[in-house]
Amino acid sequence: MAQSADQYLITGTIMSADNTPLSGATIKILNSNRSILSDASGHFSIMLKGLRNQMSISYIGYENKVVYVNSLRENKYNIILSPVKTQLKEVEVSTGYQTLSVNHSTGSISTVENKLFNRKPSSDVISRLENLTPSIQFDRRAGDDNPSFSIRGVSTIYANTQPLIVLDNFPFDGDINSINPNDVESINILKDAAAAAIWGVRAGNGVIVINTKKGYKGQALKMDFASNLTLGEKPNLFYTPGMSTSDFIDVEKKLFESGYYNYDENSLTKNALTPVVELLIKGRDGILTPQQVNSSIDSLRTKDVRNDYEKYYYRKSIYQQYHLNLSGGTQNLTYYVSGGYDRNAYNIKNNDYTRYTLKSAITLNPIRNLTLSAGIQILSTDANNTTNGSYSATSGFQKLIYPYAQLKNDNGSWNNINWDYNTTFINAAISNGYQDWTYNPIQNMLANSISNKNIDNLIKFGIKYNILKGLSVDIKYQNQKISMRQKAVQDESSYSARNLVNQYAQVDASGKVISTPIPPGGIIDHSNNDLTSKTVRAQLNFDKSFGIHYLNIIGGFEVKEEKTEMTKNKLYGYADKDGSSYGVDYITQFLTTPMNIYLKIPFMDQSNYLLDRYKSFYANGAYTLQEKYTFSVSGRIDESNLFGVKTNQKSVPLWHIAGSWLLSKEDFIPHGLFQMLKLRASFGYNGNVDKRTSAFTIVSSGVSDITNLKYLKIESPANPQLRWEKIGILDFGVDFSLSKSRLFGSIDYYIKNAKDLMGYAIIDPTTGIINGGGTGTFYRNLASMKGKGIDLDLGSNVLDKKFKWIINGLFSYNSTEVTKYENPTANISNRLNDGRSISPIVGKPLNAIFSYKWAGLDPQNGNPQVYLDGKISSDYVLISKSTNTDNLVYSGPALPTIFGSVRNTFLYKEFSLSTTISYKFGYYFRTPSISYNDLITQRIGVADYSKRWQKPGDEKITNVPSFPANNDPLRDFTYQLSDVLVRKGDHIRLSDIVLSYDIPPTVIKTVKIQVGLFANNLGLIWCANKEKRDPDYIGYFTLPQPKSFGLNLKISY
Amino acid sequence: MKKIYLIGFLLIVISCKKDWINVKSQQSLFIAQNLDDYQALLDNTDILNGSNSAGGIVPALGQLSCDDYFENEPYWQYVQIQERNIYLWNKDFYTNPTVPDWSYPYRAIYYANQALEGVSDITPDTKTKNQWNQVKGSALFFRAFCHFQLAQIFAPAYESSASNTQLSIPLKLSSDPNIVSVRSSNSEVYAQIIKDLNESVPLLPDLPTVKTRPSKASALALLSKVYLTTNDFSNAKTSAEASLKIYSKLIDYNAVDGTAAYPFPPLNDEIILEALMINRYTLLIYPVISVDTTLYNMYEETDLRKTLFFNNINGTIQFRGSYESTYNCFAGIATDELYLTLAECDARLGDISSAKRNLDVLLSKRYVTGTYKDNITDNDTLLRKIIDERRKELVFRGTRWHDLKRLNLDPKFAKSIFRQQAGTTYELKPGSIRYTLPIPQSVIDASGIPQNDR
Repeated sequence: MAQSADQYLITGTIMSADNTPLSGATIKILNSNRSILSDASGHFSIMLKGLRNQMSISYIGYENKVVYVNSLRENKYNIILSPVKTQLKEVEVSTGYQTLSVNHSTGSISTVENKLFNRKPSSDVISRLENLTPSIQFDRRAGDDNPSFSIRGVSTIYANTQPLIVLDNFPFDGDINSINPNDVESINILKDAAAAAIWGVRAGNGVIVINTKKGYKGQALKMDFASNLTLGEKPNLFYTPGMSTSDFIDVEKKLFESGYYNYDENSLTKNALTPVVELLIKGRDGILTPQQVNSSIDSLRTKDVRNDYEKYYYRKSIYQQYHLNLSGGTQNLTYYVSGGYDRNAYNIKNNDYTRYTLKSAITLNPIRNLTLSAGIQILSTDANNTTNGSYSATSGFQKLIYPYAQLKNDNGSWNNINWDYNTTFINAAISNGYQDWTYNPIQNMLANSISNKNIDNLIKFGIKYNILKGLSVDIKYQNQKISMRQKAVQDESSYSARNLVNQYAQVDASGKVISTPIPPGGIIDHSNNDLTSKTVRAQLNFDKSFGIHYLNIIGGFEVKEEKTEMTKNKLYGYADKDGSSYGVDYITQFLTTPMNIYLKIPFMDQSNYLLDRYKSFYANGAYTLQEKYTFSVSGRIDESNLFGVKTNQKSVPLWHIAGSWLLSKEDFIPHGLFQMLKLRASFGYNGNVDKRTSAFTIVSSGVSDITNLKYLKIESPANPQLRWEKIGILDFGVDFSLSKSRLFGSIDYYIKNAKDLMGYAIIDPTTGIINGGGTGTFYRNLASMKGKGIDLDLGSNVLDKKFKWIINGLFSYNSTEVTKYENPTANISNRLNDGRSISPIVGKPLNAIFSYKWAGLDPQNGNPQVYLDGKISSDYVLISKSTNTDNLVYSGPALPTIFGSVRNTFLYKEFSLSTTISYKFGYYFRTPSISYNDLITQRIGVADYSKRWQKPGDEKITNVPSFPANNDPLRDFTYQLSDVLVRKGDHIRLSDIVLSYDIPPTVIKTVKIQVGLFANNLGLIWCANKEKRDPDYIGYFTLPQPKSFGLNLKISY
Repeated sequence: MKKIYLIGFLLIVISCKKDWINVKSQQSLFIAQNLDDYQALLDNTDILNGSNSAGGIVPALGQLSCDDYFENEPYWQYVQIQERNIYLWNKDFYTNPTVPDWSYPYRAIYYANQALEGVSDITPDTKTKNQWNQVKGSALFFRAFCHFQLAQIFAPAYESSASNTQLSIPLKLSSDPNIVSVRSSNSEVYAQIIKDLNESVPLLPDLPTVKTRPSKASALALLSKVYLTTNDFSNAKTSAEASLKIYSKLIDYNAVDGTAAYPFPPLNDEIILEALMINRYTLLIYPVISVDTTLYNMYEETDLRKTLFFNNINGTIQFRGSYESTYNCFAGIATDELYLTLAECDARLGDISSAKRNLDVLLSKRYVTGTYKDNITDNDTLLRKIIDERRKELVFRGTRWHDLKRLNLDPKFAKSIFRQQAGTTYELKPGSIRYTLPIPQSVIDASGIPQNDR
């Protein structure tokens, strides 16, 4: 090929290690702006000038490679790229006080790096961690969208249970859900004392360190845009099998015949009756013929209000997210700027969430050895919620909506339903001058709203000066201001506002309304919280190698003040059109209708503040010999203004010692067997804070309803022995990676010892220290817990050819048991619950499932029977009072002891497909079954009512008790709390499927585009319980997260 | 450079200031330390007087056990097991380990003791002397009031001959939770109650500014009640007279509007001290219960109480005469009771004319004007009449149980009371050990004190 004097042609092929040509790889000529792409067979050719050149070759999923071109030597290059390694790289981890290279770290720290963190979208940070890192367990049994989560099991009983969240070096005081996950670079989870003890009294529940994105020195301007859309299905209201409407109506008829509704019918409080009961009354009183009654009732049997709720109350959810960031840097400056917009339309109508985020971070080196940094983060969120009128809403008499209610009538308007008061009373009221007193669930939902507008401003500055080589001083300051504005509006058309106006209306002797102390109109509750938190930290860092010795020491102190000011007020008679409201008489006691008791108008205005101050001294030192052996120690003293505690008890020294051994650098380990092999061991203490109690008798003030005089209430009795909770953690770990990443990961074994835990001691009520129910309780340090566990985080490149297959497996085992809890009450019924409430029992986990031993149904009458002192019994009073623990069977823990996930990732060319299968084992739950007391008093029915015992012989085929002759709650408790309803929680679930495609750069040059599809919450693959109930969602009204599907788009420039 | 060291130095200085870390962490939480605070502790009407929402203060177990009412059988299914047991005077009746009838009065005593211990550390000057006296007097009063109410339920009726050996309630004279409860004897308990009250009388103002606060009038009234319970009629008379001398207003029922659902306003003219009966029971609520028919028939037609106290709804009788103006029961101290105590003491001490005069003062305000007359001449008949009037006037105030226990000691007045339930008749004989109710199990468990035999 011809070649001029100063120009010459370079050709070549770009391939992967298995000789697959890589098409579309970018070949950039450094020192010029030129770049080209390889063709379909991996070939490229380019004319170059000058003797020496450098080509930088990049390809998604492969390590960049720089090739030196010397035209005199060669003009044909075969370039082999190696894939990006998925094993533990020589990465750095952050504890919030320092960043350490993994090799020098002695702690147990899990890292979620950027790519994994962004595997699938979400609007919050925390929920993404599920199934990405071991030891984090999410508990959704309460059905919240914001589940509770814990690291390595629970470490406290009643004190704060939330892990500490650190955002770029400082604890984050705002709403964790408002941080934009698109700004997150990586996450470190500090699990043992070596990693977390530096956080002192706030580290007891583990620490999650969030590191946000930054610009890098010398980095050209880079722009990333990400957007996604997630569509969610409506929740399944039929998840808990409810009783059939027809069965429900039959129960009402049966109760009517027994005279059950006479009380409500004649009640002075004008209790509501259901349409069926009203029809039956009309039949009884001869207003309707039996045929008319029956045909009207029968027409209701096919209705199911849950259908209406699905149709009119719920909708499909739509979540949208947009995020743009710019970053870059020069030799002396780095910058990062981003903006985000999120909009979530939740699956309840009118409920939505909007978030704007703005973030910037700048570092500057104005002179040698000096680094200045500054950052701003603005989070603005606006959430609208209302759950008024929901399917699980209950009336003033704790009754659920009846199953044959219809929310919409045939002419298209929303229906009234019978709710608090009976129809006769409501009809009479309107003619006496009361406001319309009817209840309409959908209209009420539309007429109520709660909006939460939060603005969270965070500003930080830092100065770092290198005094000598290896020695630097670092001062950081952070100021966070959060304004939270809540406005709860009960529109004048809302039932709740009309009901309150009516209840306080004053009448003359003939019953006509003569005045309305609460004026007709809307009611607005404002609640404003303003949080200001300031932290200053000064720290000395020493970091230097002396030959084979390496020393890293930090020491510093930190002061923090967090102040929350709260105000509340309530406006009555609010008119939306002009914003006016009325003053009301808060002093007079008014005779209320129909309760017939004297009450004052609710007064809610309030102002208060909370002020927390902390002062901490800390130091951490690590010494490494020959890059193999590392030894570390730390110590921290925290002081705080924890109220009333004597100064000498405020300070808790918390510390750790740890060591690690980088075995892979030893000569006796065959070279090439391990890329990395490290052993770790650590022990130390983390602390936990509970601010609810004090060394002195603490009082709060209020105003008496009777006298309007100020009074004091004793909030907590004196407790001179008060101390902080301490959690000791012993951890042994191995981090390893076999060559070629055939197998890599980490294994940890730990033992936790939590002592001085706070708990409620049952004491003699004669002391007068009692709770509202009259039980003598004293909240103090009294408990200990012991836990142990294993965390496994493993990965393997199973196939590493043209087609790649990577398996990542997470496995966590945690078992925690109470080792000390002074609780003298022996009544065993206190131990029985659904596993969500806490009843600490020595030798058992905090959340435990205990039951009565089921003895079948009584063949005579279908009464539930259990074993009491070795004999079959249906004496429910005696059963409930038993103190003999032998009468209980222990099924097991109520929270999983084994959990984890398996993620399979398949890569082929530009396609990537990954799926997560998660599992939970080793726990138990109660499955719902009919409780006649709940059915009769609250209208909560369960479908297995139809399987109830009805005649002798049925006890052989069913365990569902017969309809009781008399409503007896203890009979229901005995059945509900027997082991016949306990199920194993073990299950395997298909959590998600994510598919992505990188558009080859041949299509659009210099721009990387990735499109993806994902599906979440795809349901159970296998579960141990035969009812196929999802053990993560066990409450009667708990709804499983609906399936959701989405697509996302990422553009990088 | 210098700047950095300066900032660092400043930080060290700031962080070493002890005051910085000693501020309180919540505006609304603090430590009670001055007289205003201790007065405010005793002004906690939820706990010392018992509000509707806080559940009351005066034990209701006596009311539940007495013969003012009967349970309406169709509503039996609404009655919890524990209340059924109470109603039928069963041997063993608590299904709940804790009982508010025990713990609420002891909580009030805990507040009173906190205030007493607080003021004992304060030396009053001339300016604060009155307030100091009032706090101390009020605390002593509340402690005595609660100990007295507890003794009526959980201790046997006071018998002077046996009072040294009668096992009574634990006396709580300190707020220290580490002091283990011990049962005192009846004589110790009543001696302490009388001591506390006698000590409080000179400290308290004649009348309170609000009716939730104790006063000389209420302390003397309570003293008369305590003395009556111990059958010390002359002291009961002296105290009642002294109280009435300070305050003796009665409501003329002729002027009361009977159309209101609850005719008597709260904190009305007859009330000397407000206190609410514990309201956590179904057996206080119509139509689960109905007023005893025999009792209802005891009211004459010209007796205004018959209509102001009761609604006759198809033959079941609803009580609506509470001085709380709700279905809650008033269990505080009022002037009407003082007139009845005075009349009884007069009769027992043989002063017929004074007894009749005092009864007349009350009843002329209860009957349609001009219709009340009596022509009783013998002492026995008069005493019976006074005791009947006591029952009629103080219905649903919890006093019936106190009176049953007290009067059963006298064979002349002793009587059995009966319950009918599901075709079975239950009888509670005078002097039955079941007049002393069991102590809650949690107390027995925690303190090891002996349980009452049933």
